[in-house]
Amino acid sequence: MMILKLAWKNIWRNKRRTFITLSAISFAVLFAVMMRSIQQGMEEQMVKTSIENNLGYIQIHTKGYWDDKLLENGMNVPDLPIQQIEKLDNITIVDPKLETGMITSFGYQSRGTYILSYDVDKDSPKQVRKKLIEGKLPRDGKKEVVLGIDLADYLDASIGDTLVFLGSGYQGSTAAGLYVISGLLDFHIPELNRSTTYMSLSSLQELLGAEGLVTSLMIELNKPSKLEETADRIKSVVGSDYEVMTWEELTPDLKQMIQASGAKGYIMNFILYMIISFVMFGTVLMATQERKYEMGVLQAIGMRRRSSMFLVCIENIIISIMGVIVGVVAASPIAYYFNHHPLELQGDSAKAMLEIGIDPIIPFSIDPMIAANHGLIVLVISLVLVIYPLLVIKNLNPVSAMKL
Amino acid sequence: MKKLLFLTLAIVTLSFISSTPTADEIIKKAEDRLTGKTSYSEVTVTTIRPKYTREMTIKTWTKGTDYSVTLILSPAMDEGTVFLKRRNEIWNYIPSIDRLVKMPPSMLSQSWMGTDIKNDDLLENSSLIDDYNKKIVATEEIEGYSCYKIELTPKENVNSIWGQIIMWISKADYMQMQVQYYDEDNELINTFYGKSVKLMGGLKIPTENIIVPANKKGNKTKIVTTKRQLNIEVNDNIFTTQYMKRLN
Repeated sequence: MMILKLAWKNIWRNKRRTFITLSAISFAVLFAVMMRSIQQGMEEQMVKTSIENNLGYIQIHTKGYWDDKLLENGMNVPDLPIQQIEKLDNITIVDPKLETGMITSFGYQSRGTYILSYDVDKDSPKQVRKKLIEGKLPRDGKKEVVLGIDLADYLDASIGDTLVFLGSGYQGSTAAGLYVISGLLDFHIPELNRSTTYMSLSSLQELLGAEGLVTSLMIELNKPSKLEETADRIKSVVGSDYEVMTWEELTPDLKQMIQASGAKGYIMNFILYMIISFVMFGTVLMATQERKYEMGVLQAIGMRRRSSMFLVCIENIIISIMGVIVGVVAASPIAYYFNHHPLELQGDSAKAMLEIGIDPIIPFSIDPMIAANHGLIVLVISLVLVIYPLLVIKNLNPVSAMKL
Repeated sequence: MKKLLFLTLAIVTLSFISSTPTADEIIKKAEDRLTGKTSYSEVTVTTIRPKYTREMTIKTWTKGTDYSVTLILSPAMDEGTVFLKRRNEIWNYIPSIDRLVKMPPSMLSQSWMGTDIKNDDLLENSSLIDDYNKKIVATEEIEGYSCYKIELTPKENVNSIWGQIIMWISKADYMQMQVQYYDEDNELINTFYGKSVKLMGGLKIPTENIIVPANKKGNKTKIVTTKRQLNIEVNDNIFTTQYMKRLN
């Protein structure tokens, strides 16, 4: 107990020395947390963009649909246990989707396009509305359509023009229809802007001659981190006639990209921690050398080596904990700010991100685990570094230590 | 006397050589006899899928290999739909919306009317004669007809979607009795079978053709020719986009 009191007094005895050590630790935490926040923010952004762009966290299809995307592998809405799925934990929206490839034609221009649909009663119009830059969303029951701006450009069509849709309907029938453009969409992704059109679910079902047909159920989650558990629970509800796929299975590319980005992050973090360790060691080295005389005196007046080693340890733990707390407290508002005001990339790097279908913005992640993990790592580093002063004390010769 | 003997020998040898035609000649004859200057056929196409079967009846006029027009008679839903091929273009007239659509290049690899025929196959201009090296590899019997088995491999610098084609062509009448299409990895993609040979429009042809995709279980397309005429009078106007609406 006395040693604890002594340690506390020692910390405040030389305020400048404490401040230097403390700030080294705080900055280490601050930088580590910031760096990981950016990395994880980027990864979260990638997932979020994909999921918003008609992917969902989890999808349900008829078994085999994902490998062979035929309308005949679609599902009939009345057969689906939608309400039972909606009742499950962690599920916010179960959204029926129908999509297919068709020719879109205006005048003598035509192009193969994807036709996606949204259920007017569900939340998905919100997602589409976010992309709407001109005009209105198709009204339910009207033969209206919205399309990507680059596609409209290619077809040389604008709002109010009538497009021809032509393709294969259900079970090999011909699907053909005339639809009026009611609005234009900008997905911020060239690939989608060139090839995507949206209409209401009922319109598309009518066009394909298949009432009640959907190709997938898209499921939004409350807590994305509980992905696997939720998928397992859905599997037990829908049975083996359907396939339940998480976004990680739906886009293995994205999963891989995130893993690659994570690996890159680990290397960067490792380098950062090497630098942090040396800086922290520098301050420890300085503080130890400075206190050699003091330690010599303590031993000369009869303090046992073990007690003075314990003393240094306690001092160090207190300073480290304070440093980590200061670092985390300093990092939080910064991460929070950039989470709400994301960094916007410019130039080539922005273009590269758009190419792979991701918005060129980096919102910082505010996952509390980042601060916890990296605070802990810095704490461990600083505790490992205590070994140095302990070794010095162990080998200390009081006489030579007191000779200045 | 010696001269005469030599001459007879030469004639015998020559006639012997000409009686076993080269692979090139066989393919050319097999192709030419089908095209003619013009043709008219009535065909029933049956698409067979694990979950459903769909039957279409169509009429087709062709002129050389560059022009063809196809009119769909049934099912009622697709009645009056017209496909026009002009060299590298495919046009599609849809009566239900009274519109004409030009098939975009990106859709060429898609299925035609839900069958196992691709839009590309309708355009198939690249002649087997110019683009492939051919070799007779065996003589085999198919459907009771003795056939040359011919292996076709694309020539260098030729952009072919197939890595290899194996054809069985009957020795008599040069009918395509079976064709296997392989991709670049030498995996079987499609098999085409010719069955029920009949005399039609003055030619012996397999009137029942079946396309079986190798990697899709339970899928096939049956094409039955019910009427066929060769080298008949065909009005050139029929092969224009303007005429498509009036064809019905």
